[in-house]
Amino acid sequence: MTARQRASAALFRYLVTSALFVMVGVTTFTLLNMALYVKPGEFLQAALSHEIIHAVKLTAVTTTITTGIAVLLSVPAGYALSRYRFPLHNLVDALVDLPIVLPPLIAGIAMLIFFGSPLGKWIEEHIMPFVYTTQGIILAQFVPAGSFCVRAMKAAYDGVDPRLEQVARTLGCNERQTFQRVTLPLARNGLIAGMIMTWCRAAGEFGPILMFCGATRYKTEVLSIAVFLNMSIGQVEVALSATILLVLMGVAALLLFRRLGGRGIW
Amino acid sequence: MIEVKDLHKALGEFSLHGVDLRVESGEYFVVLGPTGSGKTVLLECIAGLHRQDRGEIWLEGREVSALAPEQRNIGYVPQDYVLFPHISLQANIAFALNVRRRPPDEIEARVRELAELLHISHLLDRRPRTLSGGEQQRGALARALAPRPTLMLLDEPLSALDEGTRAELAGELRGLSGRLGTTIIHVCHNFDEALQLADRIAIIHGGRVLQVGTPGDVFRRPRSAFVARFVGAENIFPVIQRDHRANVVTVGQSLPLQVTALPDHPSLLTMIRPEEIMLRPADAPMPPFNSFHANLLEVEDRGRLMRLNLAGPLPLLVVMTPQAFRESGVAPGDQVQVHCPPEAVHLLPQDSP
Repeated sequence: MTARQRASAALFRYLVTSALFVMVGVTTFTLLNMALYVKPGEFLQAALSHEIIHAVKLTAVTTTITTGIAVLLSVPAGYALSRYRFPLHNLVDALVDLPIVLPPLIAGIAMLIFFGSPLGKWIEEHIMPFVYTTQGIILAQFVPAGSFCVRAMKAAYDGVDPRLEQVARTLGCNERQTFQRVTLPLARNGLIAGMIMTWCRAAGEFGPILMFCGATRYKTEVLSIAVFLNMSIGQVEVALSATILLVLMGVAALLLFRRLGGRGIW
Repeated sequence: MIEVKDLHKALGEFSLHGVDLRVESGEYFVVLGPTGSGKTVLLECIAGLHRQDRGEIWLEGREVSALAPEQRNIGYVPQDYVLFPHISLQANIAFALNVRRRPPDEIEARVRELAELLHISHLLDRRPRTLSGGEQQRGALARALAPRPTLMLLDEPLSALDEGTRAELAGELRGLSGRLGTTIIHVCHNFDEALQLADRIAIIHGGRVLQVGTPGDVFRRPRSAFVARFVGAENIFPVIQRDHRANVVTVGQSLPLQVTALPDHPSLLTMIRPEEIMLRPADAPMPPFNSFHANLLEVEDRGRLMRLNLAGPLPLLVVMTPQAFRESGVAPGDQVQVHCPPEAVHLLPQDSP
């Protein structure tokens, strides 16, 4: 290799790596800068305040229930999407992704309109109220997070070689036994990783909750709403403390996700 | 007996167009064909992994065409073994028996028996990913054999292995079929492999069976140009003219050759078997027919066999043992006499698929 070729190879590597560092740098710098804006004492005081503890609890409860429902539906739904070819498969696939690509706000507005319709009103009166309630938060989280969960579960199943399932069939397993003995154990890490990401996604949800459940102190105040409420009344330290909690959760989840070998959801 | 009747299946670029096969119980049957010939699709249809578009599959007097794979009791070993990566080799072999809820002591005994038979007893606690290709292949065979299948399907079982392991496993496959009496259908693209293992061979090409027969039969009497080329036949020349009364065909630049029988087909090829051609020095006496002069261009020493290239009325390849070569008294560069006995001249139709 000539000196010139070596120099050009080095330049390429330098440019590519620089771009990566710029990208990571922007995120790291802004987040760190924000975290340092709050003094440790203030952070602790705010984090341990009655309001934030309540918000953490409400977030934990709603996102866990949301994730539970999403996983319950997505474990089979993701399998169907990954393994079966049915009419309009591409359309169904696109519809699953729709809530992920739309602005989250739209899901909130759509639900608000739905519960204003006769069927929605009937559900509000005879089954349970949703608008401006904790159930509403769960529903508002579920629409985008559920889509996300199906996608994640499908990715986990896609990672399992269908030929393993074929061999299991020739060895005497019916479809259900194959799922139970081969597919599920092999997809397990991916499924757990998908579950964690779904939980994070639900915890970070803001737009649809604001639209559908409003921002009412202590009533529909999950962490993201707490950030919004406190920013709007100028309590920047409290708002930032809630933000930092959300960031820490996100980082922890991503590390756990990598650890479990999750990949290829997007 | 396994019978495949008029099997049709279209599957993307691979398809079957009316495959008929009969495999006797206990037979080692090799389906031989090039890549894309449809041999894997055939295997997967028999296993029940694809539903045929048309046709029937019968297994020991029972029609299985409509049955799910798990109802057929057919052992299937896919090309790259596909052992379950999340469980030990032991659990892989025990898999089918666990699904059938056999008693634990029976399962353990059967796993031990198969592990010994296939020489993998020392590997039972290992995960498949830590095993070599040959070890995985043995594991996959044991796993498929565990529920005592009526039929074993092997998809290119030797092609991914290194030379030494391949020879060793080929010998064992042959031994296994003898000892267990299991009927085996083995798919491959390598004629030498088929020659070594098969009781009978089916040559498949373009989704059709071209010829079925013993290895020697297929090799010596290919029924079409494709089969002849595929089994590595040499010295194939078009017939220019023929005389049905005298049983003589003319090939190359007006070389008449006496043959044993002359078929009626409109367009024929001759195939002269390279191991049956006689060579003598230019002045030696030769039979008056089917003899001619040629130049011995080159001699390739392939160890057990010598390959001799001749130029003359036909560009011929002759194969002989080193001893026969020494005794023939010819040397590279010589003008030699060539004799092709009529039994060595095989005729086959040109325009078959």
